[in-house]
Amino acid sequence: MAGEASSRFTDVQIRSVTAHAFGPLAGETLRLAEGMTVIVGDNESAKSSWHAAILAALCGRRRGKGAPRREEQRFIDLHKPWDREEWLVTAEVMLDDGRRIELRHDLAAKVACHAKDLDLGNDISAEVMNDGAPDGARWVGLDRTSFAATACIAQADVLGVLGAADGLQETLQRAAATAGTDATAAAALECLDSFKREHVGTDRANSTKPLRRATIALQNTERALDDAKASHALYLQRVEHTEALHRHAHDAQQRVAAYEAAAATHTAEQLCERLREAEELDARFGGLAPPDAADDDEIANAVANALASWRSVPVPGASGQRSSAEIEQELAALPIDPEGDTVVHENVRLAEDQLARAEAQLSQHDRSRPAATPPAPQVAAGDDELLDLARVLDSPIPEVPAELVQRERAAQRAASAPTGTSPQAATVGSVAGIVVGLAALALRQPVSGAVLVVVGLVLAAYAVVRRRASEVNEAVVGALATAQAAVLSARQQLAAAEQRRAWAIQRCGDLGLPADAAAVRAIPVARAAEKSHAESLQRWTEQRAALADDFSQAAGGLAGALAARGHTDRVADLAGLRAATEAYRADCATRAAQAAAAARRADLVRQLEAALEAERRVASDVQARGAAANQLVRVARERGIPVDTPEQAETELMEWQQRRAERISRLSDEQKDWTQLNALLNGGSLNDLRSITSTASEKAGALAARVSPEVLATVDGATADEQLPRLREEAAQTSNLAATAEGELRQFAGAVLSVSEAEESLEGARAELARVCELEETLELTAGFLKSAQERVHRDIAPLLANTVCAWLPKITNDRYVDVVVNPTSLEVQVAGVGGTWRRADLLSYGTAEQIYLLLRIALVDHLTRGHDTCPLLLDDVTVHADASRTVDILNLLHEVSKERQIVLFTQEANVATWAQRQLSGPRDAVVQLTEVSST
Amino acid sequence: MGASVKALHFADLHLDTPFRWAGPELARGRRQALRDTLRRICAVAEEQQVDLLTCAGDLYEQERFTPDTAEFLRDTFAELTPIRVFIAPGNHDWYGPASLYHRVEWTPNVHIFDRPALSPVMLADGLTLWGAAHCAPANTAGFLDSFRVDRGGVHLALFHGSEQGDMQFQEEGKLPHSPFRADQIFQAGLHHALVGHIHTPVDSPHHTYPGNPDPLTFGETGERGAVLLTVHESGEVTRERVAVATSTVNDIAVDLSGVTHSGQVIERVRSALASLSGVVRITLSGEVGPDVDLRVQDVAALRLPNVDGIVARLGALQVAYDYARLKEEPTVRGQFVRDVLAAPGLTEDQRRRVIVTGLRALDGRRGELEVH
Repeated sequence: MAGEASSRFTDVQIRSVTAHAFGPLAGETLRLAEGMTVIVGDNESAKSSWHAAILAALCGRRRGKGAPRREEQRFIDLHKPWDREEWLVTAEVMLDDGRRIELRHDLAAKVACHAKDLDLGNDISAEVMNDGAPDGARWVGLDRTSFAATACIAQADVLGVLGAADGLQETLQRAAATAGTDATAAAALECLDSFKREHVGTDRANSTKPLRRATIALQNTERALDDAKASHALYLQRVEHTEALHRHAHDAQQRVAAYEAAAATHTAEQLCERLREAEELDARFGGLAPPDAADDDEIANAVANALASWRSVPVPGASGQRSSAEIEQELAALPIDPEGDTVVHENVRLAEDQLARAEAQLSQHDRSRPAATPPAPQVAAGDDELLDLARVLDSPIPEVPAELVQRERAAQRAASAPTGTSPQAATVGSVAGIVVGLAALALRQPVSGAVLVVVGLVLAAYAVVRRRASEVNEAVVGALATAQAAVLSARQQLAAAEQRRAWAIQRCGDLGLPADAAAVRAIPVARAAEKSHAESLQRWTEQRAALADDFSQAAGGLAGALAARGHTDRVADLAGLRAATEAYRADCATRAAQAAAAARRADLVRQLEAALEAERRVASDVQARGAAANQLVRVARERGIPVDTPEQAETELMEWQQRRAERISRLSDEQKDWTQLNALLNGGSLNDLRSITSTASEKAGALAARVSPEVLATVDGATADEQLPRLREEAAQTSNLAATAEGELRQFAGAVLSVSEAEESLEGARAELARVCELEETLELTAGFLKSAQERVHRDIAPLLANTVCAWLPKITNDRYVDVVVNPTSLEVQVAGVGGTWRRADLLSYGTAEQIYLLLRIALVDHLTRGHDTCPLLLDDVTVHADASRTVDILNLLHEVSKERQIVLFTQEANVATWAQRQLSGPRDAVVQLTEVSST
Repeated sequence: MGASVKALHFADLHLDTPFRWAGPELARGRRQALRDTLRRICAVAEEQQVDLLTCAGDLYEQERFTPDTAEFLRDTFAELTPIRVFIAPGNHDWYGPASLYHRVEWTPNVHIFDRPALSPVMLADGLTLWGAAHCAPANTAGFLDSFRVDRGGVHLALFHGSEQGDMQFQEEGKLPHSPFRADQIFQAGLHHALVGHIHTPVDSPHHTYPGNPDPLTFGETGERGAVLLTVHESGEVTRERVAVATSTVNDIAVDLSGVTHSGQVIERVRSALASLSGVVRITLSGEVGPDVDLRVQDVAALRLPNVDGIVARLGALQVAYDYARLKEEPTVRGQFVRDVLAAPGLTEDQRRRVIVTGLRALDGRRGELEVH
């Protein structure tokens, strides 16, 4: 940086400042060097006024309406001339483009202000116009405010940095945030946060801040709207309910009216009918009552009695029955009751039945006598022998089966090799012996047969022994033996059968019988039949004797029974017995007929009594009828009716009665009508009834007019009166209900909440919540942007500050500190010595800290000016608290800095003045000695 | 029909409607103004000696009416006797079991059309008025669809409906209840239709929208009020609009450009309101100085003897920061301004509020961080 100073041109260089009228200064000019100008002045030398005048001449004042701000007012109070109206400063500045500019600021009226190109004479105020006045700070990218905060370094600034904890850091932050004009970004963020806490707050339950209040208010108004709507809906519901009750009441009233109208109409109709009837009856009677019909009742009674008497007596005549004489004659002719049986006695009947049964059994037995059988032939042989012969004759002669012969032949072929014949021969011999022996036994030759069988058995045993001895021979030999034995057995059976047949034929011949098995067998059968017939005949004979005995006993019984009933005739035989029995029966019949005739006597006696009574009654009737006839004729003649016979009188009198009944009926009807008329008039006159009817009709018409004809037509007038009490009660109840509901509705109406007002309140609450939310959003967005901007600017400015300080630090600290870092987050400055130990810059010695601070301010000015251009630095007693050594260090530093920018240092210190006199001897530097300003 | 018949027609009074833009007191005042306007309409009817007063619906709002509105309407119309009053309920005051129309025992001079189809009333020999009612708050079909008069003479219609061609004049969001086309009127054999629903006045050859007679919101245009109609024997209708509003609503903009402090804001507002009356909505716009602590509620809270109420809102309002210069600052402030101005996700209103809030925070203006 130092090396570049000579090659850099000061962007804005203040050549001179003229205080035409500024505080105590009037028409005075201060010329400033290109490099470093030290302005030395004691107290009351207007040092501060010149400082302010330079600033005012370069930047001017804001030209705003209204009351001045606090700092503006302070500027006025401090620097406005006390003794004149004019308040004017001018400055001549040189720009890097070579233009010489006059800045003129009429600080009082703020009207005659300009920036004028002194060479060309034109007004270039527009280039730097700021708040209504030209502002020379704009040429370096600052304005009058930020220039004052950045390029003007006061004694207090240094003290603040050195005296306060984190003073350096805060200064850097403020400069980074607003070029030092206002708060730091952190303060702004804290300000936003604080404002948000107070004017937004949180939506937590325990919060009382606007957001919570607005949320609660919204909820409350939403509920209020719901309540209002519900209230309104309930009101409408009640209105509807009340309307319905009114309709019901109205309907009930209409029903009552309809029924009343119907009843009245019915009454009117009845009255009309009554009037019509009354008028009709009245017209018939002409106002006179009809005559009484009961004036000939006595005559009528006499006629009725005569007729009744006449009709009540029976007409005498034949009784229709036999006379008492006839009955008496018949009684006399009746026989007496007979003696003896009139029906067959039980004993006779039983005996008769028993005899019949005995006779039938005997007859039946006779018919069952066994028939005779032909005699059996005489043969000298028993039944068993004959039957044996028949069986032998019937038995067939068996043949030798061909398959046995074939099997034997096959075995013989197989057993071609001779093996001795002893076993086989023995076997054959044994078989033959046994067979023949058996045949002999069968032919009843026991001895020979037994000998042969024994021999056969011996041979067989021998064969067995031989066979067992030769069992070791070939199986073929065994098979051949088996086959030969079978064939031999068959042939032996054949021989035995033929022998038995021959014996049987010979025996038959001996007996003289044919050799026919059937004929032989018939002989034992015939013998058995003959024996059976003889036995049956014996049994039949014995039974017949018993039956004949029974018959005799039955006949005796019947004869006894007949005798017991008085028929003692002797009977010699069955025919006689039968005749006696028939005779008994005939007698019984005869006596029965006689008894029947005699039995009619009692009946005839009763008939006789009845006939006698009837004959007495007829005689009485004849007498009574005569009296009645006389009475009838007399009554008729009394009525003037000429009659000859009672029948004629009866006819005439009946006609008279008929005529009288008709007349009485007519008179009775008239009486009824008269009574009806009186009832219709009900004690009044016909006109009265007319009046009543008219009134009723009018009333009915009036009532009917109140209801629709359709409704009226549905009501039965005849029963309407019965329904009316109930309907009136219902109508009264519904009317009461409707009236009650109406009253409740009116009461409720006063409490109905306004939906519109609730909606408006809700809208207000929504607007308030929206406002708070919008504020919250705005504050959060703002804070976000601010944080982001802060981070970015700090990140940019930190290396710049570090580089600037680092370039100077070894030089001003005599290489005690060689490195610098600036925290990009907090802008905290740390320096490092050659040993590499880092220390916070504000904790270094005052002198070092002052120097670092000044370097940082210079770096900030560079950073904050547009395009890192350079601008003058105005320093006011910045060394006042430094000791001599530190002061020299600062001055040396500033002198170095002045090689690349204009430095204006105000001081009152002698050592500074001395240093300046010694060091600032070159063309780019100057020392200005202020004199005391005289007070006026 | 003998001589001509005079009718006073109005619609869309919207008694008991909410005024969400107003505070409680002002809203109540507005609602009272609506009632006053109805009485004014009746007074005009009597003054003009009309034969009938017609209302084409939305006389009140069924969902919001207060119980005493019933008595108010009954008494108001009863006092008109013998002038006959005909009301065709609309979508807001639809006819139903719980509606005032059904509940109130109207005097004989009042006739409420209570069917959702046009039904006739003989006004005079040869003059028939056909009226219909909305019987539901929505979905009412067009009354003129398939309708044709069934007799001779002159025919008027009274109903609440949306003429499709007139909807374009209506404010946004208006729903087309019971729609109809203008040509349907003549085709139906009607000579003129007295209609309501569209708040903007319309005087078409065969139908008349009177518009809401008293202001309901801001920005209403046109000659709204009641319409005095004369129906001639020929069926020709002549019209004369009658202003009946008892209140006024003004919608003005106040330019605050150059204002440097809040006192100047109030002065400019006062100046703008000096010649006005009624309710005024003020839209603040312009470029104000950075130091101006502008609070909308302060403006709305102004009490002026000539003004019933003030509704204040911000329009195109800017703060006169030198953004160009601020953007150049290599400071946090400059970075902040650059960032906010360049932020793509912000609305212009947000951008303005954020910048002003941030700059005020950096200025240390702790009490002025709420930017409207």
